[in-house]
Amino acid sequence: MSGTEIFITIIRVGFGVFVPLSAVAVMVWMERRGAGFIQDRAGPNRCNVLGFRFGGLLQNIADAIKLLFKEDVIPGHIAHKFYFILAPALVFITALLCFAVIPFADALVLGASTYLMQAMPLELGILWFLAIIGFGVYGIILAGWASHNKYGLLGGLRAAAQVISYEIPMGLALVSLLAVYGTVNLTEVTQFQGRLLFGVIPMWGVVLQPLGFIIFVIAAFAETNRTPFDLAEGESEIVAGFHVEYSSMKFALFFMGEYIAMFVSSALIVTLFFGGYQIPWLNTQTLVAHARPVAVALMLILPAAAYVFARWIGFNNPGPAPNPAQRVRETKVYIAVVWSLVALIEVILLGYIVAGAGGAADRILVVWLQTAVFLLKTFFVCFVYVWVRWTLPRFRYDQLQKLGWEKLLPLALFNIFITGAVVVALG
Amino acid sequence: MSAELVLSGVLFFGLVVLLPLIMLATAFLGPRAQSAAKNEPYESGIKPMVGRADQKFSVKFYLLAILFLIFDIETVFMLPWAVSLRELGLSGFIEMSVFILLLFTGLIYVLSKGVLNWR
Repeated sequence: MSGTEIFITIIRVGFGVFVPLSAVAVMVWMERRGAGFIQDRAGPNRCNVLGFRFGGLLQNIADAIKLLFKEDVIPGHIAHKFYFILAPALVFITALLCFAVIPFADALVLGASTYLMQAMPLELGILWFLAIIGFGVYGIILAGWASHNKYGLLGGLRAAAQVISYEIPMGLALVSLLAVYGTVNLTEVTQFQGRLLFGVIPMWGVVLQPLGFIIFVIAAFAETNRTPFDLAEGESEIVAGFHVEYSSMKFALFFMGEYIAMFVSSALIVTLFFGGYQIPWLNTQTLVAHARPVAVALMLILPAAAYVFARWIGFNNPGPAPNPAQRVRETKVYIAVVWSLVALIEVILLGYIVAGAGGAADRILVVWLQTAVFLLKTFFVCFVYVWVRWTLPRFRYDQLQKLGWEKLLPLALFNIFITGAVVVALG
Repeated sequence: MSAELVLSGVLFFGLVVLLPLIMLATAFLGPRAQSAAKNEPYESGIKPMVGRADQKFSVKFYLLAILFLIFDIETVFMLPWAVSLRELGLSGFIEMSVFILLLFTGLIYVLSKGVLNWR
């Protein structure tokens, strides 16, 4: 293996592990701010260092420190300590493994070799996802059983029954998608979506498979145990479900596993239905061929976005309470930080345009751009998760099972039938 | 198997397994204080009176698991069919339609038997 290969492998693996982990922090923050905005109440607004609150992001760090230094209780009534400890690790590991096959940029061509831009360069794609997500149930049911608590057991059973029920509509929605794309490789799926329908509309999965999209999104919400399907941890009925006996970092592992699963399924929804890393109307070839104008456009867009942000935060952040002078100082620092970040990127882009344009530099610029687009889209879908959670109430358990088996399953079968007919008719 | 795949597999699996182990190992950071209340099942502060953790649970969960097995295997059968649908053409489509129809009839039978009536 050459040095470049090893370097790219390390970068990819680092991305595949640490982006979902940092996404947990971002999503928790989004959840709190979202709850504040949607339900008209205060978000995380107390935690600060020297008066700087970073929009509530510091609350996450405070929470992490608190969880680290909490007492780790393993109650005496637990007979199988090994399984009790294994369960949270299993939930965390399966959630993170799913991200391995999701492409965050188009395949990078350097000289004679091609590098798939996913944490593990597998071509299994969607099959890997289906295989690993099935393992997630083991962690949940093991936690419920090993807790030796009747609420824990009920929560674990509910979660397991719900996840396996919704795995079927999800799998069937995927079948109709695969019939359209004709491949399981997610990089090829995304390349397919770079084409145009009738020369105008981007061929995104959501355009080709609207019914499949609805089924898949509902199933994805149920798979990640999110509201309105969070029966497994219905506080009003079974205390907290399968993680009722867990504390300290073991609880944190469940929590992080849940948020990573949410991030990964958002990434999968984006990859399958919203064109993944594709920028509409600009596929990879176009971008590489016009790398210089793209860089110039970026140099114009970034300062404009920074200006809008500076105006917005300058208008919104300085408020009356509790310390107006501190708020003004805070705002000034935010604006300075954003402008210096923009300046750094501008210098890099300028250096690229003056010196490095052409060849490998073009392709690497496109990879960075596509990664940014992919993350933007993914975080938007994550925001939809938050939006739904703070808007919709919880289902009743029989309603949940009826929706899965009596509505989604026949709809998914019907969708496969229609899709198959259209694909065969069009050749 | 290319060296690239092996290296990234080892790195990725290694990191993914190592991280939760490190997090579990931080358990010693917290304080230790045993008490009788901490050593019994947590039920919102009430002493466990009704029911036990190893009591019988609804058979519906078991039925759902069996249903899942049938339909998940159906999905597994459909995956290779879906990927190669363009090559299989009309005959492949008709064969799969018969298969779907048979399983759909099975689903209707199961639902009419009242498997999903939670009482």
